[in-house]
Amino acid sequence: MKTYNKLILILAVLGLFSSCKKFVEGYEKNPTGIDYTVVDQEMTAVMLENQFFQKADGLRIAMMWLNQATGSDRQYVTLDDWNKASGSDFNGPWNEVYITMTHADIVEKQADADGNIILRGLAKLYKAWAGGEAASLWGDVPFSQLNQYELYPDPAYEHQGDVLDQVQDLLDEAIADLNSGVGRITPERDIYFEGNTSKWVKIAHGLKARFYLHRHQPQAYALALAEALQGPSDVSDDLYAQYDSNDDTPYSKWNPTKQFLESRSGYLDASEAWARTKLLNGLRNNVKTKDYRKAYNYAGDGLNAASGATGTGKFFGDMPMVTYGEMLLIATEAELRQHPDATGINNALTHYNNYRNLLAAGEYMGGYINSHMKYDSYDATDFDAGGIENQDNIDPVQAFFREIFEERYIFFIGDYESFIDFARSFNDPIVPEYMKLHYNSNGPLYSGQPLRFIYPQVEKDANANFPGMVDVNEALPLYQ
Amino acid sequence: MRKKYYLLLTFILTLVVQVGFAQTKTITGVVKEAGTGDPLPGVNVTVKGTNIGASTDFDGKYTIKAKSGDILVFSFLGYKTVSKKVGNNNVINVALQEEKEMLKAVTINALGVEVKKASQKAIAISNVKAKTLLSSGESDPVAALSGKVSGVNINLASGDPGASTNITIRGPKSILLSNKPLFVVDGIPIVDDIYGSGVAGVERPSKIADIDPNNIESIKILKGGSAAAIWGSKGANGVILITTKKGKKAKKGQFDVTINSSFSIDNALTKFPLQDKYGQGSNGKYVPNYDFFKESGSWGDKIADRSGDPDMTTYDPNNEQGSLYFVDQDGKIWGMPIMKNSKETYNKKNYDAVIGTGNTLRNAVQISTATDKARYYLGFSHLDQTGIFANSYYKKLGVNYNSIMKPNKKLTIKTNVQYSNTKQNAIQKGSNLSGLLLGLYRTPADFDNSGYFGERHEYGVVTKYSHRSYRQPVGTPYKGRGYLGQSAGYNNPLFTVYKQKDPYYSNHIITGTNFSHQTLEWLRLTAKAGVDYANEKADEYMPVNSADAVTGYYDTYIYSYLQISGDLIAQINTQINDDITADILLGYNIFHKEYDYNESTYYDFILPTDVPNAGNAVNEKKYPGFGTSVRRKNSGYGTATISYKDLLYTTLTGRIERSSAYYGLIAYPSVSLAFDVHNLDYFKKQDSDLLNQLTLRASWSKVGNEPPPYRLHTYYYPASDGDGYGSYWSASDYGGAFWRSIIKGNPEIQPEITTELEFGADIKMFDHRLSLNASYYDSKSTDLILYEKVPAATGYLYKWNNVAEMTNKGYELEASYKIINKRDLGLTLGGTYSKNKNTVTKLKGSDYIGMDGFISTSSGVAEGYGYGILRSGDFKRDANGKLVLDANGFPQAGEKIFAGDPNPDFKASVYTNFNYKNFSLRVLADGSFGGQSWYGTYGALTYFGRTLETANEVTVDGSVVNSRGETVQSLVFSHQIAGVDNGDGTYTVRGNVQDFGAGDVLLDQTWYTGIGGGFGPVGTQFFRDATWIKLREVTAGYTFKGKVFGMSKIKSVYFGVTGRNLYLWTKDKRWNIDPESNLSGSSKGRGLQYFNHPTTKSIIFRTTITF
Repeated sequence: MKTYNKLILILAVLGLFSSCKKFVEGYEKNPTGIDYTVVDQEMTAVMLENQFFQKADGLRIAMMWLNQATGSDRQYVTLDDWNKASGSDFNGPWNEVYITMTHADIVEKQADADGNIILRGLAKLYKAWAGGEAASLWGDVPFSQLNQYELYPDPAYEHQGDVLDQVQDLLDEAIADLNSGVGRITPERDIYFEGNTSKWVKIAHGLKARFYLHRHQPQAYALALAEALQGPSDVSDDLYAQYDSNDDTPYSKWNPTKQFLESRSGYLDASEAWARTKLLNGLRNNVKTKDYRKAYNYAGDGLNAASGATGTGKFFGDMPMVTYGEMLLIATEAELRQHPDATGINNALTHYNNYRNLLAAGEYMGGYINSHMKYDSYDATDFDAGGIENQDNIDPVQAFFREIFEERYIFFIGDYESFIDFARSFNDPIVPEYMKLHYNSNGPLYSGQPLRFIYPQVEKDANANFPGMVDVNEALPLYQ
Repeated sequence: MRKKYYLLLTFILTLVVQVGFAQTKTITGVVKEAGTGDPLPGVNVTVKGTNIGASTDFDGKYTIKAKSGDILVFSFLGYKTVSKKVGNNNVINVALQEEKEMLKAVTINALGVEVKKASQKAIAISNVKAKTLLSSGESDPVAALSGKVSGVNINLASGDPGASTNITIRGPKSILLSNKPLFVVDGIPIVDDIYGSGVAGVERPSKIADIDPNNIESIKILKGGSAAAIWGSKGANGVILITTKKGKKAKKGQFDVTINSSFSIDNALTKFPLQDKYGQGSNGKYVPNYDFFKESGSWGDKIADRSGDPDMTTYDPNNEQGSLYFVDQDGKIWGMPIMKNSKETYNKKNYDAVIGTGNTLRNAVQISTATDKARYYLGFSHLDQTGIFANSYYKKLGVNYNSIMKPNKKLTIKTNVQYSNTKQNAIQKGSNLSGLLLGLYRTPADFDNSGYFGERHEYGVVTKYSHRSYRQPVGTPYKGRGYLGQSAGYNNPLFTVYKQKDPYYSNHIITGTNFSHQTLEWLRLTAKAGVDYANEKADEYMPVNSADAVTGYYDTYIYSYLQISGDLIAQINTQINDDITADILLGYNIFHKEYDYNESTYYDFILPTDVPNAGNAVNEKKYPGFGTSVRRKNSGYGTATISYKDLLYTTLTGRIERSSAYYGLIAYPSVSLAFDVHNLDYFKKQDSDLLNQLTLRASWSKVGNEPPPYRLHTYYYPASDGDGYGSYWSASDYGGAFWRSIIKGNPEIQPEITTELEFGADIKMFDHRLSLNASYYDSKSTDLILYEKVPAATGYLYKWNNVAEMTNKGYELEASYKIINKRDLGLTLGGTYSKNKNTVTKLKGSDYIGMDGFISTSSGVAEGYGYGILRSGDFKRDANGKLVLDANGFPQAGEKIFAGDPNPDFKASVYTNFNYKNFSLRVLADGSFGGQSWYGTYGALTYFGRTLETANEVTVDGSVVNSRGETVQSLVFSHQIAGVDNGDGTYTVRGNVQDFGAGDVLLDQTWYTGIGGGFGPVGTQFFRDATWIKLREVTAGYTFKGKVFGMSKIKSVYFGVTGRNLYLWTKDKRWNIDPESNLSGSSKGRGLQYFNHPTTKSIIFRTTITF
């Protein structure tokens, strides 16, 4: 009897226990945790992460390596030398570009489910944009297995060219979606164009032009030219990263370079930057050119992150991302690439002089207008041997290429394009050495050339399909 | 290992070799009551192992026949049984002690429930009594355990009043989650979370410190997994059981009153020695500059070589309008020195202004009374501590109520209420421009910090609320954000203590009730419930011009937690047969823990003021936040102890849990075995006082560490991102946006599991004189939770997952020996020894995870290394480890390496207790042996030219070069160094000479501010052996008993003096701070020293009066 009682007691206790699942149920979710978002809000986040990827830590490294800026304190002294950089220095940029792609993908799928085709198009544009930049900086990267953790916990690496092909297809889809007339981009959520789809269509074409140019293949130049002509066709079409670095503005809205200069005082300047000390220090000037863009980019021996009566420093306010100016530079190069001869020079000059007219009107220099400034139109003879842009008597086509790349180097200070230019042109015999990248006033800098971004340590740690570290001096697959 | 036990056993057996036979004789004697001395009639006297017996008469006298070597057993109901061996003497007198409420047979288990002692036989327990807690002079009960318990690692983070103490038992079991043991107060599990401790900030009190040691009866430390197994997912880190004082039996209608008062005088245990030979400046010169920060280093001119006149400054009393000067808080005027003439130095004055003597006044009143059916206890305690840092304090008020009621024979009701109110003002510490020591130690010897706050006058323009520091000698100019050089650089330490505020306020209540009913002879039912609730407010206020928050910063953090735990318990006792008994406990628990916070942050103040005011920031610069976290759990548990005679005890425990923090049911089993070797017939027959107890223990257990709540799902957050270098964005500036977290939730997450195998022995020998407890354990913690890195292209960067593993193996030993054990004279010697070897055996996806520290040196985890491994930059070395030197013969910076293990090889303590009549003396010393620490303070102060080493003078040949390749001759010639030309080709200059392998080189400013200093890439040169020994406690006391001062009401008066932390010895003589202190307080990082606040030493006077 006693034993029987005890058994009942044991069973009672166990029964009590199993009946109390309800006690914990419902408490596994965070009462202040949110488990969904509104898709057009997330689109804004994608825009912001994309511009952060293009204008923050990765950019600073690109600028140091291109000798547009100088690493001068603590870790930045080491980072100034591309040979001393390591995978962990690139965790940030890699994560940023993939966060951009991932969230663009989330928006794309949700917009698709919602039937908002225009928003779906914008999401595709962003996914393609970020994917294209990743392929242009790191080469082979994961792309088609994006954002499918359950299916692909270790996303495979695809060839740089394949990624850029997918990017072009995706941008075509984006253009079709944006032109569909179905759905909309919420104006308040579009920090660039307030929902103006036609402007976004131009950006899509502009990106297509950019990524065709990155192919660095003969057949791509005609495509690049055609797309550039459908890209932004006026400075009012330009897409600028949106910042406000005024004292009264929250710090988080400041230009990332300005934030960096403020919080890591002394780490980054331009004390040894060839762009500042040489190229912009009168080297560009000739009878048709009086270049005053040094003041826009630099202040003293540092980067210009200030705003004053004479204008706004490049690293203080909004920063160009996809512009009419870039389209004209792409068109110029694409014409000359297709026809590396007198015809090509003439055709290219049309675009290039249009570009110089923009400069003459004070565009792309933060309002630093100076009465002595001069960007007169060039003619073909200026590139002939002995001409003002060919004092060293080289081949006129080469002289024009040199001009294009020097100009792009300055135009794209504060943009990955100048780094990609260097990566794609370094082994290109038609482009004469245009940057004393590895020299400064003190003589040789570092050995080798920075021809790519280094794969991030996080991929090495976490991705079973990681192909292995590639040396920074090794050219990207498309440029080998 | 096994071999050692055999050896031990053999040793014991050898000791118990016994004597031969003897003849029967008549023994007589008197049996008395121990306390009163009254004769005890009716006591049973038997000869052990025979039927021979007798009993005492009315006068307590007895007569019995026995042989020499026989054992006489004296037993009497309600009294402890005593055995005496018959020797040559034919008279054996005995005093029997009253058995108080069967205390012998009953003890409390990990749940705080009374159980038979048998069930606790196989468990490694350390006991600490109230008396030893109090005599330590610590106000935090955890700190009071220092050096007293084996297998337990206690770190006193700093000497800040109220600073929390870190405690781990048998090594850390988790990387990300807590390594703190579970604290159970009178059966109620309590919260002991601490917030706000890292490499900077302030030290806050832990919740456990709210329990006043005055109110504690005893602390039990349950170290092993099997001891804690009944707590399941709360058991991995061991359990600390705190039993508070209960009402004592007093004579009917009377009160038992104890008044306990103490006063302590506290001082810094260590003081960093700083040079006073060279002044502020660089390259051997003082450099006047007006607009920017002044020189941070003390690489200036030699103070002794100055003229001794007053300094020439920018203040002209005849032309104040045209002057640059500062008017301080007392109206004193300070100009900017243009030329340093004065030989005066201020190291001592600057130090004494902010660090001095603190004191602590503690008072406690304890009242207890009893009736036939109830006992009551009421305790009040009050602590008022003034810290050794100016303006720091800690105040604690406690009320503790306890009652035990027995309305009838079967029912017992226990009630416990503890309330405490705590207030603290802490001082900013550590790696913190606004921290106390950072500014104090960096201040050059020739700078007087006494004027710290006032008005800056700049050629007729007045800036109010200006902060004067050594880098802003005429006060900070405030010219709007973005103006470089407007900051104080590093805070004037007086500004830190008097203008910044870090108040803390807490109300904490713990209550518990316990209804226990002896329903049947074999069944006892218990229902108990406990509530732990605290409401706290921790603020941080940095007014305008604080170096770390030039435009001002205010953070107010209000939080509360509530923990409710309820249990239903059935205890069943069964006598299966004559030899076997089973004690079964079955229970069911519900548990609810809730944490809520509200935080508001304010930036960029409108008005410079000391007064924290929410209106002092524009709306755009106010950032509110709130959050909640709730965790629920229910569990069924049981334990069964099967005893075979009084020899073998097998205990099985199990707990099944369901929690809101993970899906599914988890079971935690344990099994333990104890063998009372001394109860074997063989030993019983010996009847010798040689071996009183030999219990061998073995156990296996599986315990857990629960995942934090809300890791099962992926959440959406306000979109923002940053690059770790100060660049970041927030969608809230662009209309706001939510997006999916980069951390993937994991519905499969499970608790971390620790399995442990343990062997031990508890030995008492030589008539209980020698007591020895030894344990060996081998534990493995698996499924440790980390943010596992996942490839970014998956859409996430991290995933919560059970991925890492760690092992802990160790020995622990506690021993004591009563050398003299007489009524009026006693001398005990004892000690503890603990050795733990921790290894991280698996760490998926990372070579290293940093937990605390700096980019140059940090403490973290890496596969194959001990927890908290220190990673730091080393010199460049070749394959043989030899330094690779540069062209000038100096070493260069190399790779980061795992440079030191902060875990000690072992810890040990020794103590002695002496008493003679009413006088008692207690001495305790403990130490930590082996392990390394990074001495970042030394490295940093080397950079600034403040260490003694940097102020050396050497005479060298003029051709010797510095790290830039400049010769001493050229340095002296161009006045780039403090030094003189001796005219004979040699030069006497500031610095040191060293040969790194390519001949003598000069270590001067260029070296110490480069690779040779604390801000360079080579942290390994500042590693030190962390071995230390502390004279932890010396207590002398005298007790007056009976009538004291002619007052009949007073029962006794105790006077005692304790010296706490009187002496610190370090193996590496270059330590000038306490290696036991830790920068990151009680958080994860270990072995980091960076402007840590010093620990304290104290003299404590204590009186206890009992009425």
